[in-house]
Amino acid sequence: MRTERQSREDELQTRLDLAEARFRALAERLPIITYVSAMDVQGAFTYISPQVEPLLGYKPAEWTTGRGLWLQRMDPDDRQRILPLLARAHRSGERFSMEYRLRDRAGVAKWILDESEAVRDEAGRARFIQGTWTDVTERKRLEQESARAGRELASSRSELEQFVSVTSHELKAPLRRIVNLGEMLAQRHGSRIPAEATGLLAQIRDSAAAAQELLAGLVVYAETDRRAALAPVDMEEVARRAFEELAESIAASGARVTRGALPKVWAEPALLERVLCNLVDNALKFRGKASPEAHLWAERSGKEWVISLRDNGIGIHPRQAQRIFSIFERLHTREEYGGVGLGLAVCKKIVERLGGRIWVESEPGEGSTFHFTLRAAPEGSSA
Amino acid sequence: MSASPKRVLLVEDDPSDVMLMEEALKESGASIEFQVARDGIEAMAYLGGQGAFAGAARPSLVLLDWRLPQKSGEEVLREIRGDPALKLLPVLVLTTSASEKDVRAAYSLGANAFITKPTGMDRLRELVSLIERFWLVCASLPVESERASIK
Repeated sequence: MRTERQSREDELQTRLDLAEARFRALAERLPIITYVSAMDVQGAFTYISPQVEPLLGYKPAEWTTGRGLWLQRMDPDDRQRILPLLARAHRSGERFSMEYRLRDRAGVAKWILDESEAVRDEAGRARFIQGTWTDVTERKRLEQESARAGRELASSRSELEQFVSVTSHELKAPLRRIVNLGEMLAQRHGSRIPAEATGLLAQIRDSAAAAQELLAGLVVYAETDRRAALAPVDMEEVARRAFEELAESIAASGARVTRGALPKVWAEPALLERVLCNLVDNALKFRGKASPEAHLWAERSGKEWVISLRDNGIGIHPRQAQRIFSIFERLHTREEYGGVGLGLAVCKKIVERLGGRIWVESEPGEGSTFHFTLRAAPEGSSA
Repeated sequence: MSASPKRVLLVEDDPSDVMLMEEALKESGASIEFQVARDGIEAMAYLGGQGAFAGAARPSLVLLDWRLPQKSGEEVLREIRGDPALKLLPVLVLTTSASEKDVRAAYSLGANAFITKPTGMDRLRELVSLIERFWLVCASLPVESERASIK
């Protein structure tokens, strides 16, 4: 019956209308702008969702009548870049995804992420373009800001490196001369110098030597700033070299330094060696009354290794445990314990550069255990 | 005991360092005579026998500071290695610097050694004796035969 078919068609139509209304309501509540545009004619919108108005200040109808608005509002630099890519993408059937600037009614540039695709009929012919605009202005602003901050940081870094290199050289030379000239004075006129003056000369010499040590430490600290080039490193090898370098001071302090099996880790050999040297040196320096003992070992923890050095030294109060990693932080006077307070600061900086963490567990009089983490490297990998 | 002390050109701008080297030389008893050039230009003039240095005898060895006024140690070394009459002259870079960059630069330009100036008179004295023993006693240098062939 005709009427029956009629009512069935009506019902289908109603359902279709309902589905479209639902879809439209959804599309128009999304925080993105959806649109449909004609194939081949760029910017000829047949539909654009109303969210476009709060963003760009033009009503949907202004976008769908005349097709000049889109091109007219697009940043001229972006236009040259975007249009050829857009045409190519739609012809080849690729999905188009680009970011460009559209100026709103007041002339303020908004960054739009435009993602679109040609919709094809059953015969595979592209019929129209369907796409979305997302407002990415804020993200772009943050990206540009962080890029600028990155450039500024890089330039101040290289200025700092330059500064360190120049000042360290310029300071090193006079300090060396002070020491040598003082000795020369003592040698030439030793017999005629009053005892008091000899003491003062020794103090001049010690001060210059301390400044030299400080300068050398500062240079190491500053040089640690450059980016580490991580590679799989055999810690056994690095520890062997570090212990060799320290052999003299270990022997001089009568210390016993032992180590367990050490793993392969992601690191830079020279930097890692510096960490081990500084930690062992620290253990020798802050010794208690007993002859120093230190043990180095590693334990696996997930994807990392925790490398630890335990000593029987004077220990640190837990309250001070963070302070000791700060630059120039000394808990003791120079008379009690030598050094310039840079060793652990260098360790911290290096370990962090290598992507790990460093901390200490200690009680006064109970010795200290320093721990640091490094990412595990595959055991088979070469050092 | 050799007949006459070996001539060594000390290119050094700092008067204190010159004095310290002279002192270390005296204390070491090495058979060396320092000729001093105060900057890179003076060093090249000396080596070329120009101006005030006309007729000056060529040194057996050059001790070259790296950071020099007028003309840097790097430039002096490059000019020495680029000069057919000087290119075989042994040049030891003697500087405050211990930087990897300077060490590489010096060797790639053909320095025979890169030495960081020591702190402490005993070490400076030892360095002067070592230089004498190794470079002027043990090693055969091309300079003498070279000069002979130029003449």
